[in-house]
Amino acid sequence: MIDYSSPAVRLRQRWRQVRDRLATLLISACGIGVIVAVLAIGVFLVVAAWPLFSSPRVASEPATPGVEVAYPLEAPLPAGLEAWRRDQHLDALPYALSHAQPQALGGRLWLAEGHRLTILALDGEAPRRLARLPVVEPERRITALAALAGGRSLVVADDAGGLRRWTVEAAPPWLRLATEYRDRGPVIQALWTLPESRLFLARDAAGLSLFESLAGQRWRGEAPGGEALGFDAEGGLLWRDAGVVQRLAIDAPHAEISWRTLWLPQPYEGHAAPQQRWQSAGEGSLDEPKYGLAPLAWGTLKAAAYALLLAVPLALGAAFFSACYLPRRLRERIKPTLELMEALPGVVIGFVAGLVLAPFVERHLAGGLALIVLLPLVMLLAGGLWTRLPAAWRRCLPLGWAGLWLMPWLALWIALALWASPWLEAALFDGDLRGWLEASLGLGYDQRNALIVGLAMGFAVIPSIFALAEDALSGVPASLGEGAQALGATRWQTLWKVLLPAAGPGVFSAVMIGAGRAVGETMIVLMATGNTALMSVSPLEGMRSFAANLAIELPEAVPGGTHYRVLLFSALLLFLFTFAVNTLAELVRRRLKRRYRQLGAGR
Amino acid sequence: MLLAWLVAAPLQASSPIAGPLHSIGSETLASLMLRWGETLEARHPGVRLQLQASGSSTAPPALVAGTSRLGPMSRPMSESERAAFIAAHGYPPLAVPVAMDALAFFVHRDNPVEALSLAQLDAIFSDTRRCGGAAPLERWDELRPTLSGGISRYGRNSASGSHGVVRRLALCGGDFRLDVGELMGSAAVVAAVANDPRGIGYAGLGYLTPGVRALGLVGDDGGAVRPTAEAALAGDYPLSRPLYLYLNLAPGEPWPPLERAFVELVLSAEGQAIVEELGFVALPPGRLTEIRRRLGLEPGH
Repeated sequence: MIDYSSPAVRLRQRWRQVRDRLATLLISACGIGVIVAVLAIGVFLVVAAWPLFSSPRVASEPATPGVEVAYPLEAPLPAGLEAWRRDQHLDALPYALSHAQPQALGGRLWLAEGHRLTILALDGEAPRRLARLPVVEPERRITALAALAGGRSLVVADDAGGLRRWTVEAAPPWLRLATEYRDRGPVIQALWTLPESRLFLARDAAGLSLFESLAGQRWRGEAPGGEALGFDAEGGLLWRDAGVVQRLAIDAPHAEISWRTLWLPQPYEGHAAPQQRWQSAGEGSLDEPKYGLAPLAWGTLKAAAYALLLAVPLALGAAFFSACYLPRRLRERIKPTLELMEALPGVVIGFVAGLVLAPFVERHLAGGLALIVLLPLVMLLAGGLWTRLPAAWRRCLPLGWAGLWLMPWLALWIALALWASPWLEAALFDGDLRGWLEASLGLGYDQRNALIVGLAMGFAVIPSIFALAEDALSGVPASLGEGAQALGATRWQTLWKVLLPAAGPGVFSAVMIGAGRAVGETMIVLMATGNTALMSVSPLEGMRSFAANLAIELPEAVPGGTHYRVLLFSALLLFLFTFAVNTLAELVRRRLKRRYRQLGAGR
Repeated sequence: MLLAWLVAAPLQASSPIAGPLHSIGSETLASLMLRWGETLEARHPGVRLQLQASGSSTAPPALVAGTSRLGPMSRPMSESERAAFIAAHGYPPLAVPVAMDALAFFVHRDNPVEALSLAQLDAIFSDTRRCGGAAPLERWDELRPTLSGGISRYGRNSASGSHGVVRRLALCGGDFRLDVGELMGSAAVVAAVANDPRGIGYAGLGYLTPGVRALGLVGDDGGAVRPTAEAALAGDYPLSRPLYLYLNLAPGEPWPPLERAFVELVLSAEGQAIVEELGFVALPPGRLTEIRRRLGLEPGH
């Protein structure tokens, strides 16, 4: 008999309880910790990206005594120009009436004359007139002119209230209309560019507006009364009203970011048409930053699509074969082996793909393309031959091993295609398939292209798709398949009519998980492509994905800067996408499990 | 004499050359920093150089935040980077030129093109063509009729010093084409060009391998300059740049022994031998003496 009241036993009972509570506490802490960590990553990304979309703050404050104008509003004219202007009687021109300050830009001087701009070259002894170009409608007059930092854009305001940005070129046509901020509105009397930034202020009778060269108007408010003096060293606008100096503090660190500049083609300087571009400039550079996310999103989806194009048929085919055709003993060996493929690090796959596979495919391009067409045909042919074989031969190979019959055929054709590749290329494409593709189909060829990424990343996602799809198929209650076969269904009919409809959602979720992995995969895309932010469908051209872009640029972005925040915003998009895909896949799998339970219970 | 030695010995021991030395900055300088660090560690066993090399743009923020004491950079600091440093510390950073780097454009070893002009390189790599090229160069046969095929372009990622130098010097500040591959590391660029008979890419001259050839540059007078150490030092080869080591040292402050030992090693004959060994261009002895004098490292100063 156990004496439950003895101190030793009571102590043990107490210890048991304490241990149980401790374990419960620890395990729930771990669980909650994981959830909190995932949420914290999301919250961190949101917090880091949020300032991008907050509107600029412009506020008037008393200026610190003794503050000086570091950047005057009107830059002095180049020496000698005044004399030249007198000699040329330019004073008589409407330029004098327009009050628009001449602007020096790109070694040239731009004068406003009525509705036209005159370009003077300043390289010779005396200024030389290069051209006179209309920039607003003939009945309008230019009221203000400003050159943006970086020296490639001119902003022109007219007396109907129009405001336009023109990009400047070194040769005719000299000017190209980039942005029309507005056609009509309050007449702008003065334009002031902020020092070392691509922002400018426009003053009209009603108030003051803050514009960014690409994003357009970012703020509008009342202009302080009195007279503007200039910008101080921190970029605040100093203003004198009735003898008191005020400072207009302008806080717009991420003014160039808006939904439009992130996702739509933008009229960048130096390009004829609006473009989708991702080209971050180094920190502290006055060049236009080009933060178009569309090419990156495109590259991410393109890489994933080509990977799935290869992986889905192969992985699902393997899963069907393994679940329905393979003898159990063989399946138990093959499944773990395939899943071992998943343990291969992405860096290794990427390295092999970029430095070994890419040059190899390029050398055997004709053979490789021929294989893509021929391989399925060869498989069909081999299958057809199998049914024509004498029955005695066929009996030597049990059905589960029938795949072996295919192997020599595949090996033979791959060897044949690679061997014949140079000959094919010489016979059909004058020995230069790449040149032929470029000339006749207009397809560029990058050595590290979507095809290579598709092969490498497809290889990497096959194991996860295979494992999940196989689980879903072999998890179908055996009674279903057996019942179908007992009623005389063939294996194919059992698979297609019974197993697949039952396991369909599980197979779908397997593909979704594969897609999630392909979208988030970093190292393979980074190493197997040239990371070119192109938007093309062609399998022979490269791409740049969100994840690879983060790996390349995030270590070097200045924390808190626009570039850094845009990168974290793209990370947030990636996070949300994979989160959504994985959650959807998980929900589908849950429903499937419930269905299996019901099916099994109905037995 | 003996007394002096007895007094001096404990003094020396009180400020030993030991401890961790953090360096954050240029990827181009990584191999140099590593070798200099190893040499210093061999000489003073207590020293540990901790090196993080992901691009010149990472050096100034690390110096400002105080997370590193050495900031190797493959370009001079920009005005805004200097301003941020001065705002944080109250004095400008100390720049020490440590070597020269010549950037070269590489082609596959079987490519017969010997030299290109900067305008041609701009027409190959840029789609703004600010250097004045009328049309983009898309195919090798536009350069040499005997060649064929489209040009494949390789380059570095946008935060690297090489990217900035090529952009400034060869593209006149214009934009790279979108199909210029952005690879991680100069060695990756050279490896990609070595594997691609139609490839052209830029990297430091020190990364020259047997699989690639470095192109000469055709000047305005029509003569070609080979990318060599002599040409870079003489200023004849335009695609060269000085490499800097930035330090956080207040004016008038005595050198901390560890930094002093490191910079002395870098500017010594032994340190410059490492520079040459790794394919960079060593500074001439006269220049080194001048730098040492300016830094107050010259004996007897």
